[in-house]
Amino acid sequence: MAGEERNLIPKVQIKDVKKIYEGRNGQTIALNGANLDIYDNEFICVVGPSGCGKSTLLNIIAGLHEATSGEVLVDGVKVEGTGVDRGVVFQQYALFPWLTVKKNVMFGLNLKKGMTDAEREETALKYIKMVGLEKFVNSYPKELSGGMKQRVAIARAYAVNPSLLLMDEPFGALDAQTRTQLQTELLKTWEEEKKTCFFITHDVEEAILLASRVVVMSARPGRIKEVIDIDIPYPRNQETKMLPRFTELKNYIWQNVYKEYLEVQK
Amino acid sequence: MNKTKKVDIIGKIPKWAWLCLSLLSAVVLWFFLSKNPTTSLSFPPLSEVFKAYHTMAVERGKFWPDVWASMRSVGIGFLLGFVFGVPVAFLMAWYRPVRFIIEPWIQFVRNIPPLAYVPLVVLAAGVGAKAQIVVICIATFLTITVTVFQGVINVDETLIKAARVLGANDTVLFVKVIFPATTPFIITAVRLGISVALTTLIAAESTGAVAGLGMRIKALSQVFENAEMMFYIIVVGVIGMLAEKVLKFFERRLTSWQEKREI
Repeated sequence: MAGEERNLIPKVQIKDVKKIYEGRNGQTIALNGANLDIYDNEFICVVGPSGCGKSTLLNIIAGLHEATSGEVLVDGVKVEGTGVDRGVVFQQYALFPWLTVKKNVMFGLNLKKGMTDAEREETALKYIKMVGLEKFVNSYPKELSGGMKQRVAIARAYAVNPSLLLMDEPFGALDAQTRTQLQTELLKTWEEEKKTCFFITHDVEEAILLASRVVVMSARPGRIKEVIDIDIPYPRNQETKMLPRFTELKNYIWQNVYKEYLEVQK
Repeated sequence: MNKTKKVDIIGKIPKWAWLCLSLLSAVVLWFFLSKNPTTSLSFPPLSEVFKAYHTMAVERGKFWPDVWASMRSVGIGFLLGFVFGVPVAFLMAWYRPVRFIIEPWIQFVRNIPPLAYVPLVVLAAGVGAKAQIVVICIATFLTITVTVFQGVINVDETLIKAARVLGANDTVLFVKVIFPATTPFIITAVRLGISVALTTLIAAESTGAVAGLGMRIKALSQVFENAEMMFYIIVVGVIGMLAEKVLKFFERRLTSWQEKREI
């Protein structure tokens, strides 16, 4: 990262965030002091073994969970509860099944003040088109495949124009082919309409393909182990995976993450 | 492979044909039951049961007033049970203290047969339509509250999260997410509520009703007019089936968005 960028106020500041869950069998430390600065328009991918607290961290940034100690600042303001400046895409799509594709995408827009209904509809249609579902505007979620559902969820998150997009293993439930397709689409979308992205995955290849920096988290109690700059220039596509540098990075990260998997099994 | 083939043949027969077949087998079964000496007293020949309509409706002029009286009690009792039950269910799911206080009461009263508390209702509400409505209202209220409550607490957590991050406050969350997500359970609650209202009819009308299907069934049984009694029992069953049909119609329109397994 260039030196002058370091001087900017980070988009997101994660400061010594701890999360402890009180359970029947005592305490579980999900996050043990996570620190990270994320800059404007960065694409951050977080990888780590299951139970390393990556989802917990995302939920805290989103304002859906509260940190036990420490804090998260977005644009210099402490996160307290959810806000439309932070959009979230969930692994389970989380579409409202009783609403059509268009009405799902309009859900957040309808809650925005200072827009006419025509503008809301226009905006919704723009993003539905962006994810290539213009033929399914009036379909219900049950009529869509998993990949299509996730496209709607991405359109819904984009429609309210958040400056930070949080994605919790969004492609985790999809088959390999749909997954690569959506990865390519997401890259394209992100390059067209830049946003700061915080993307959780357990797939190292996916992380390197998408990210400007990959964050490797360690096993329970979760903490950030290493942050790796992905120095492969954008625009990227599936062919990026053939580059020798890609393989190099993949091997390096695999070894790091793999060690953590072994750690969990102990 | 073989199995799917079989299913296809079953699926090809239209629904109305199945209904006819079901009815026909019931008539055949009835015929044997009315011929069998041990069950013939309980199952009078069907021809006599049909004649009972004439006896009760035309000769004695009781049938339609009975239907009207019962439908009035069931209708008002059910409606009141619904009007109280749905909000209470939502309050229980929304505010935990409300839940912790009210839920034990509901579980306690739910398993007491209505017949047992009818005298207490009569003491408070007096003899007549009011007591009948109260008994039916209590029974439907309990069923509806329990069912809707289950629905509200089963609303998918990620839908709530998704609404929150899109900017929904508590009111929006309730009106736009929790309520629509609960509609399938509300319809189930209505279904169970109607069924409970009808099955509580005899208990409700044992409060000294002067007319009513439940009261008449009891009265006819005491004078051993079995064909007439059987006719009334069939009428109660048919009313239940008709209510179910109407409900199915609304269910299709209101919850067509649901992912359902094709059976």
